[in-house]
Amino acid sequence: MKSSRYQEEILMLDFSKVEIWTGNQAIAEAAILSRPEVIAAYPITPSTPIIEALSSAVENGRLDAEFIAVESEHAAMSGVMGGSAAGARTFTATASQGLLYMMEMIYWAGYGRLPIVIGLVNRSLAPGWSIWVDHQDAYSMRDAGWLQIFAKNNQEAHDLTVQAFKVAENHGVYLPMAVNIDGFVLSHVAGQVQPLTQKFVDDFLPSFNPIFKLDSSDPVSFGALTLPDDYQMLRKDLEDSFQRAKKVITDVSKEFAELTGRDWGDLIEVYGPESADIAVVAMGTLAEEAEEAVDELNKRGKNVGVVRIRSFRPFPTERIREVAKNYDKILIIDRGQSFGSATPLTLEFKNALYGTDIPIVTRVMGTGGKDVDYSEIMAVIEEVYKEEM
Amino acid sequence: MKPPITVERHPRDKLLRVDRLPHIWCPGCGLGKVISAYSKAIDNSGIERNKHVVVSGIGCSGRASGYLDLDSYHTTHGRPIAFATGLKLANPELQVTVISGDGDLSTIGGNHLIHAARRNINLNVILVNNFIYGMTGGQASATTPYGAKTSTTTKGNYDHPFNLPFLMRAAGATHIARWTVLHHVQLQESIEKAFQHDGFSFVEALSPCPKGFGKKNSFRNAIDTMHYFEQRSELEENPELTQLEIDMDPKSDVIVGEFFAEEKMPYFDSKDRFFHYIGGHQA
Repeated sequence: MKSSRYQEEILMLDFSKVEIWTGNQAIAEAAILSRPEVIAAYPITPSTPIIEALSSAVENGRLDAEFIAVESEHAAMSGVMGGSAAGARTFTATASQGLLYMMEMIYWAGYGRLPIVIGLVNRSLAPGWSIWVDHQDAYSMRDAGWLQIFAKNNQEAHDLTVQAFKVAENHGVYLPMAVNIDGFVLSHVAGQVQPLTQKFVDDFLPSFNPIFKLDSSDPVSFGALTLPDDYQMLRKDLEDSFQRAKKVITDVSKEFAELTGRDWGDLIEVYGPESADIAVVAMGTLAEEAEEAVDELNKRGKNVGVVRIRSFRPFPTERIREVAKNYDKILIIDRGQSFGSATPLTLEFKNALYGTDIPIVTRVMGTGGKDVDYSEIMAVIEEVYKEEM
Repeated sequence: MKPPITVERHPRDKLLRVDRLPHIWCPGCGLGKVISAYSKAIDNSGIERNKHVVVSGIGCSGRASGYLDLDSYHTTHGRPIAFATGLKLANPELQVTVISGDGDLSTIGGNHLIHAARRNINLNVILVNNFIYGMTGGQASATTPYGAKTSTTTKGNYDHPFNLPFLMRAAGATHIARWTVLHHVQLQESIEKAFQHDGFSFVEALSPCPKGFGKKNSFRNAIDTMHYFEQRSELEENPELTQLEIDMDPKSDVIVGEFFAEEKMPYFDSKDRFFHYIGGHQA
């Protein structure tokens, strides 16, 4: 790691400065520092404060961008796609039903290779109406060609938003990226955030250099009819980009950690003892809550760890195979479901660990915003200790 | 100071799910007046209560379907008219009313508003226009006046708003009225007229949103918008529809009234006649 003098003087990061920001503010401030040029956005709870902050930043001149107050999420994604196709860096934010309503365009942005960044404030899906967190909205875009990364706290959300542009716009990746935070638990709860500076972000994040764009001096046509052979090739190409993204996300995380001293892990974050009886697997704030639970249990003589999935797409299959052998059992706590089958995280683990004999246990917890505290996670871990595999 | 008057029962209670009260609407909100006018209109309609159905979308007004003790459906954002169309087709005997806001019906759901009007299907749409997205905290919608401040147009809105009566006339609506929530009796009578009207009815109810719209603009106190409606409302029976844009400027008039009504073949008749004409199957 470089010296703090380097960090402070060259990157102008002031580590004594701490803001008390909600997750929404943390994302909005990072998005503003990333200098998006086109933002098209539509309000929806709990992501609205992100777009309010961006519209204010545009109006008061802090951010030189076009802000379009569109008439729907479908139009929001369409608007940023237009901006991205014209070669602009683009950003928007949404949640839940808003994401579902923009889904046609979400797939288009992914399959169409438009490196848009979205702040996705995770919220459960209706009916029944619920404004609180779970991950079902994020799972709904699993196969849309988007990189999906999950933050566990407001600081990570702040840091990830800047990193997301760098990953998405990387020419070896060139895919849109969703930065996920848990609705209300992070989006509306204020916590300590060390803010990045404009100087740092300008150095860390090069300006957007599109591989292709709409340019009247060199006209191209997008969205043409694609015959079967070409179509299959395009999807293969998409998959290759996802595989390359694994290294790019890891490298960008590492570079960021070296510069700032804030290391959030690679595609996953491993917490606790090197080898343990049980690894608790979760995403977002549930993983941070699991850290509390395992600390408490380990104090009482148990031996438990946490594997936090940061990148859900691409899924860190190889990393899971590497770390899983350190554990006797895996306990997945999933905040979403895939009805008629195993939960989305369980499916990923069973795929990643195919051919091994590590037992996997799953609990669906915290859907529809149901609060999960560390003592409940401790109780589940105790149950798994007792279960015969 | 006199103690506040409290009553155990409100005259409208019989049409409310009182177990869902107190409601979530802010002090000074106009939605209660709309619900009151609608429920009074139901009383006066002579149509049995179990034939009335209310459909709402997303936003503060979306709660209407939750508070009214009728068959009701709280749909997704912008879709209540599309949903109500299916409902009406499945059971034409029902008196189907959509109560939702400007953000829901004219912005994210604007497409369904114009297409239901085009079909002249026998629905009653009560669009509660408070000029912003209220529930998410006061962002600009398609009816936010030019220059108005909202949380997404902090220096003022540079987009032009819809003139909804004009839009509805162009799209084919056959009954068009507008009142403020202060015009309680007139609003109620227009809703009754909508029940009677055979075709697409559009009743716009201008409503204060003290928290989301008023305080950022010229109406600091909850009562100020009501005073404005009181002082500047002008009744016009046959107005020039192109002149009905609302700018919520304290110096501008608010044109209200029963603007337009015509008899035009409604959806079901149109369908029957068409199939009769081509000699084919009649649904």
